[in-house]
Amino acid sequence: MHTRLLALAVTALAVAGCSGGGNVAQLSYTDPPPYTPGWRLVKNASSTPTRLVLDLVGPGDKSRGVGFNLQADPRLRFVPLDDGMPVHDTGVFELRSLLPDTDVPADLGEPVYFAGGVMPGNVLTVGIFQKDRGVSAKSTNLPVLSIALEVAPGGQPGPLALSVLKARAIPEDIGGTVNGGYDPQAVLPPQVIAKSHLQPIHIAVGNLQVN
Amino acid sequence: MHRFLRRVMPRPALLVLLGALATAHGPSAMSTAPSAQVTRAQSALVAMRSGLHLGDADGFRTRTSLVNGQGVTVVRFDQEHAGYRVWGGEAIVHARPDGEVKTLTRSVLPEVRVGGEPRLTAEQALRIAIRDLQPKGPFAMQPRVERIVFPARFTGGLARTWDPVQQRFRVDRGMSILARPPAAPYVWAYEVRTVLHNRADGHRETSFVIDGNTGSVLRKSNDLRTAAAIGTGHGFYNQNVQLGTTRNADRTYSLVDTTRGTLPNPWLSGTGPFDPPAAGYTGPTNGLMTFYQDFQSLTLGFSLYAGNTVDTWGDGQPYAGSFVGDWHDYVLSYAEGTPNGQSPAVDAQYGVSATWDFYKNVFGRNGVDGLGTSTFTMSHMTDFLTGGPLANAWWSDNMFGMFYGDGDYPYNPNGFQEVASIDVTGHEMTHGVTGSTAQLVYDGESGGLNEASSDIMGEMVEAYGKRPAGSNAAVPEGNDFLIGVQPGRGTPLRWMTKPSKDGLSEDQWYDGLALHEVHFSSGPMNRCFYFLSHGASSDKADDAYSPYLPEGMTGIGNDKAARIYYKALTEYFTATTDYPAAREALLQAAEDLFPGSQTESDAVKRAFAAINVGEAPGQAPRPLVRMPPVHGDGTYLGYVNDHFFGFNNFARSPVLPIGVPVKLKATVENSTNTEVEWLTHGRTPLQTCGGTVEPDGTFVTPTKDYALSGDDCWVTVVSKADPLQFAVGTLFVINLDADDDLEEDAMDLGASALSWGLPRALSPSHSMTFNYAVDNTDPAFAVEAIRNAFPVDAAVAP
Repeated sequence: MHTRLLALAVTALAVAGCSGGGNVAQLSYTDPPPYTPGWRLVKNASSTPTRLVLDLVGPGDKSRGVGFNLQADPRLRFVPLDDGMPVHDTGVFELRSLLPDTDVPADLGEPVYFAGGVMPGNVLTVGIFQKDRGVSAKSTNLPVLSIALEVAPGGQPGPLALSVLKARAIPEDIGGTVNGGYDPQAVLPPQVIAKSHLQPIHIAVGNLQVN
Repeated sequence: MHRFLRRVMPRPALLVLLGALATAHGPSAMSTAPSAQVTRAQSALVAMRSGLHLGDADGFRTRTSLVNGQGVTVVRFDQEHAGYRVWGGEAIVHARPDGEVKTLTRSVLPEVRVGGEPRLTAEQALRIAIRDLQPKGPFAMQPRVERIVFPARFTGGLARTWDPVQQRFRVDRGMSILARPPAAPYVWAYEVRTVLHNRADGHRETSFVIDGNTGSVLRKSNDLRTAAAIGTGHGFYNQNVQLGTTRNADRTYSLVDTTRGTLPNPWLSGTGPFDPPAAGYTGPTNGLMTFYQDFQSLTLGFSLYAGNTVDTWGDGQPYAGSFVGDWHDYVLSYAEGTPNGQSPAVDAQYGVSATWDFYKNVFGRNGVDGLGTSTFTMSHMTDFLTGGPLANAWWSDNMFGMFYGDGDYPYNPNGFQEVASIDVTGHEMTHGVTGSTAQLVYDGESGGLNEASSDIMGEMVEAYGKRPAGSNAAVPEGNDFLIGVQPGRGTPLRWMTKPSKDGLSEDQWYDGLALHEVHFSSGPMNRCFYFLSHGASSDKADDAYSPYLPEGMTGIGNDKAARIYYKALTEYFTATTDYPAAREALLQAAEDLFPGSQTESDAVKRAFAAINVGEAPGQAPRPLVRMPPVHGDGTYLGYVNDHFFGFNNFARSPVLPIGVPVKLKATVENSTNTEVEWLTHGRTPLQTCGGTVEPDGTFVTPTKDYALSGDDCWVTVVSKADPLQFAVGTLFVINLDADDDLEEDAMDLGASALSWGLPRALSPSHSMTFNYAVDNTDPAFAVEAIRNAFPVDAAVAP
């Protein structure tokens, strides 16, 4: 078995060499251990050898949104996904305000708290947050967003750094006091106000390597 | 400028039955029987469809058709798709008696594709518009809802307000459009037009474009056109004048001139697109009618000047005012109907009559729309925001009439007295002519041209008013070329010879002129017209000197200049005409009117060259500096909104975070020397921007939070090859740091979301736009800033 794999690898390299295109850099990613506490960046099955798609999965607790800054090796580049931004909304969070007592968005075109970009230093910044307190918090055991990376041609084999610089989430228990959408008359109880802060979270990142 | 005046007024209940209000207009048949010429014109356009990148579903609907003085049938068409109007799409066809047909298709929109049916009904769209409008009182007329095809690229966004006190623009959240443009190039939509005219709302005319599928407000605009700002009549400005009046059966007279206007006024008669007519109005509907605002009517009812037994109107004195008392404490005088109160009305009716005659006798135009439709003037209007004196006037396309304030002097020692001078009435009625012809969009350069058209014709009406007896068919020479010098008590609103004398208007065109408010971006066209009629000086000390035409030029006189401009406005300008297109239009008009003569067309070229548009005969092309938008197009198209009524300007003003590096770009055409100098200010001392732009355009946005001041960050780029050539751009810089960690990133969205929908933000930082509460403005601005500052394409990859 090992001999056959080795032979295939050699053949692949030979084909790449014959094509005159140089080495085709391939990305491999090992997920963080499955029972790592907190949030994790895990490989999405749609990944290809040259494009790594990572899903952000939560610990299962309910949340109203999450964001992080992720610095990548200069040899990596982030890929545009939704609407030209380097992040994909998987649809777990309800980003729009809803009509009272319904699950119907009041306005499909209204502005939402969902954005991403690549800051200087090759730092990806993404955020996806619910805004309507009348909308329930969502379970995070499913991917809440995706990002994608590619490696520049000619990248040398070896590990590539991928580190979370900052990560925060909105907890579950700040909502439920405003009944449906924008409510200029809403009054929050003090105990809810006290909880209304972004909470630091830990996001576990796996090992990334170029082959 | 305006302080709040105390007045107790009852607030009427909102008398709106939504279901009964929606009037959906589908594909409309032509309102007039098509003549052979109109049919020929339409056929010519249809035959051109493939060349215009249009298909079988595309067509052209006649909007207006008139025969000009040369016997040419001029037909304006609205573009349509599947029978529905395409917003912003139009064409003009000139069909000559000899069979020749010329088409102007610059404003035809190509590749129109829109499938299926809109998810929303017309009534739902109306509800959305009313939710946004938030009326406090009844509508003056039934809102009109029309299903249309809307080009996504016209979606509007960041609104800015002109602050006349601080002389700068500020962001206007109420008029800002927070929707992203639809992904498809064209979408089904509904255009909703509303008119409020009641004590609680004042007079507001607002149009909406509602996405037919998502319900998003895609565009919102104010439909009023303002001046920013006459038996025997004794007006204050026009002391002894003849007025057209009506002798009634009871032997009394009223200010209704039945010789000017044969078709009924569409609003007063209820024959227009809006229904029902003016609430409770049972008076005359034909002729030139003069009303005053009835302060005792909750709906600002129209009171006709009537019941006069001697047919002498006004006392020739300055109007003492509708208010008694001082700026802080006053009561209503109810003097509008007295002889003294009639004086401003005499001025208004005289001015409008003179304007009517000017258009009829000089150009052969029968009234505002060329069809003789009746119009009216309403005197003694008050300021809707303060309830106090109003130093302004406007034309209403919807009501087909004009409204005039009494001025705010002496309440405001620096203010204006009665506004209905003859040039102002000419200005306002010309807005009606523009609305019936070119329909120049009141934004950007076309908005400046709209205002300039009114200024130019207002001055020509004033000159016409001084004509010698017996010469009714020509515009005499001379005039002051000062707009509103009488209301300004000697200080004009605008100087046409040198517009920059007001400290705000521009003397020349440049890339970025569209960012300016329309009453100031009108400056170059006003100056161009002065040069065309009176010439330009070669004396640097002369107000009529232009560095772009240092040798000066000879003018062709008021009459020729006015005829060329009128023809261009009514036959060649389209809704989106800009300065270069205006030059082409005036050149074409000069060639039409004076075939075989170079004098007039060369004068047009020189006059435009003198405002930096095109070249004069023998001139080499000048370097042209342009400043493309920073980072993509910027989803938010800025538009400008005056603190009274709303002036729109769909110019690009990208939102960016504080302290981030961006790359400003400039291009220089027509020169081998492409070096530029960057300046961190705009065209006035108040338009500034912190920081330094490196020679290569590298710029770190200031750490000053411009949202706090509601201001813009202005940048100018100047050609080193020709310092007279420059471009101007703006950025809106905003501090995103809602979580107070001194970093501008996407997590700030979460901190802002914590306060969304609350009447008071949990932390002041949660609103990046400095709202008391956090609403959709905040995610709209923040997301846009992140997208603009941190584009994926800028990611580093060796």
